[in-house]
Amino acid sequence: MKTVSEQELLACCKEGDIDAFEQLIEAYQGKILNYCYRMLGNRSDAEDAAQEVFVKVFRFIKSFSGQSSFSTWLYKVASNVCLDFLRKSKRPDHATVSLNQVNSEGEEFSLSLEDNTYAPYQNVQMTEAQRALAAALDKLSPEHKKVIVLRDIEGLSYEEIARILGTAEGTVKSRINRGRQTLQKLLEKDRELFLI
Amino acid sequence: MSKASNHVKEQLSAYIDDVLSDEERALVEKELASCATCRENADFMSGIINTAKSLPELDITEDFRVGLRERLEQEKTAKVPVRWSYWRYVSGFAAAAAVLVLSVITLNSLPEHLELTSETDPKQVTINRGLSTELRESGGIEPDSIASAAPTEEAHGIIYSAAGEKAEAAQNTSAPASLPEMATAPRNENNQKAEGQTAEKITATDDKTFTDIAEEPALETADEKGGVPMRTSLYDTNQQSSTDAAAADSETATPAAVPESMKASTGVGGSAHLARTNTQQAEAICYYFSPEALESARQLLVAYPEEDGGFIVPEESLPAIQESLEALPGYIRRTMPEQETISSEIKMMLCVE
Repeated sequence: MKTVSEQELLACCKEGDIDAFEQLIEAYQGKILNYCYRMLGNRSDAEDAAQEVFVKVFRFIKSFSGQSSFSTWLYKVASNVCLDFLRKSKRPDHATVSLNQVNSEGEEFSLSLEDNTYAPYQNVQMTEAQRALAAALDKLSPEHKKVIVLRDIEGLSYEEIARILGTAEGTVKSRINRGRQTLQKLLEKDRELFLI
Repeated sequence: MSKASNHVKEQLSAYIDDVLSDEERALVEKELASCATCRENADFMSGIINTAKSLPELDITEDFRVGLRERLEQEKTAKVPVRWSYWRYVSGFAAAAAVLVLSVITLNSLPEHLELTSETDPKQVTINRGLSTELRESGGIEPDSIASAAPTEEAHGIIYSAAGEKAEAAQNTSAPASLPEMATAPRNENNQKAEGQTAEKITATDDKTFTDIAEEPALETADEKGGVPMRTSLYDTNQQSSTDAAAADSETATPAAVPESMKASTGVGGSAHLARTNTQQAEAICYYFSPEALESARQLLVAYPEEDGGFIVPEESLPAIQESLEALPGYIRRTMPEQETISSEIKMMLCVE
């Protein structure tokens, strides 16, 4: 649960204290930004989405009773904001790029997407394995990408992920399994990179 | 690959995460010890997971902080009581029963909504629902957090029944009954306690701030049954309509902020109309509720993902939700859909006029 200081900060935030809010979210900014980064694939959208998350949380913080985890709440909001971003990313004035995506059954299908600097990890130093994985992650369906990011990158427990997604742990377990197996299929040609 | 190996393949993920039972773990380890292919598969999966953990991260830049601060400042100061002014001067409307209208929007062609009589000027609510698994899974805001909070912020167009003769009359005629099972104990308990004390409860509501209302025990949702939690959010369609007049293709209505000073409602009124959306494929079914049922109706929709100003509700949840909505005290009527065919993607938007 929350520390005393966090509770005090929360009380101040409910009064509209922005300084207190910034302190409260300090520990979470990086996590939420990077969660958005994994989901959206580019820094610009990630920063925009992350800010949107915190603005929404600030907007509704008066009604946050504190009975649930603040972190869970942040991830839930982030999840929905990213979904909104992904849906709104299809703008007709942008060029479309066909990508192959993998659905929940592990089948590839073509998906035309916005070419909105959809180049994850551009200008970032990465190993070959990291780059291959990043590309594979972006081919996952949003439902699989979400659980993989929450589990393998954010390091959350099954229980926490279940709370964030609003589903049963069994479903989380199954989805993570499917997501990882799909990644294995996508990365089969680069298998050697991942065998230590 | 042998049957045992296939079985292990399905268990590898859980094994790596150490969420198997002792018995299951023992079986997997036994197979791993004897099957080289299984071991390599496990190493491959572990390698992917470890690489994922090592992916580079973005840093929080000063620009990000500054940008966020600006947005927070704007959020704090942007409590323009546009709707408050409107409601403040509403008069003459026999709006004892501000009616909540839930409608499934026809995405291809949004019909003009029926103009309701001044007797029961409705607040129109449209529920967005979607069918995809992704959407079903993405709804995850707990009722006691943003879900409950949403009405505080975005539903400033919703007016809880004001004190007044008609309001009391309407309230007294709609004695709260137990909510359906989907709306769980806390709400049921509250309603049951309120039986015989309708007027008192509603009066108390009148005195409440939106914050108080939002802090009321939230309904447990289908989450208890392993389903998707529900959340609700409401936005002012008048606001949207005015902005949409200038930008017909606007996809999202930005909910106006509830003014800090806006506490208990003062009155109701206004005409109902369907919110315009740019979403596609749905048929229009409008639900009408009394203001007393508004909170309950909202709670039934809490925690669904939001899109284009509305809420995405999975189709498989729709029948249960409709049943629950129609069982609410204060449920008035619904209009029948014009089209029988429901297209593959149906959106129900929850918004308020």
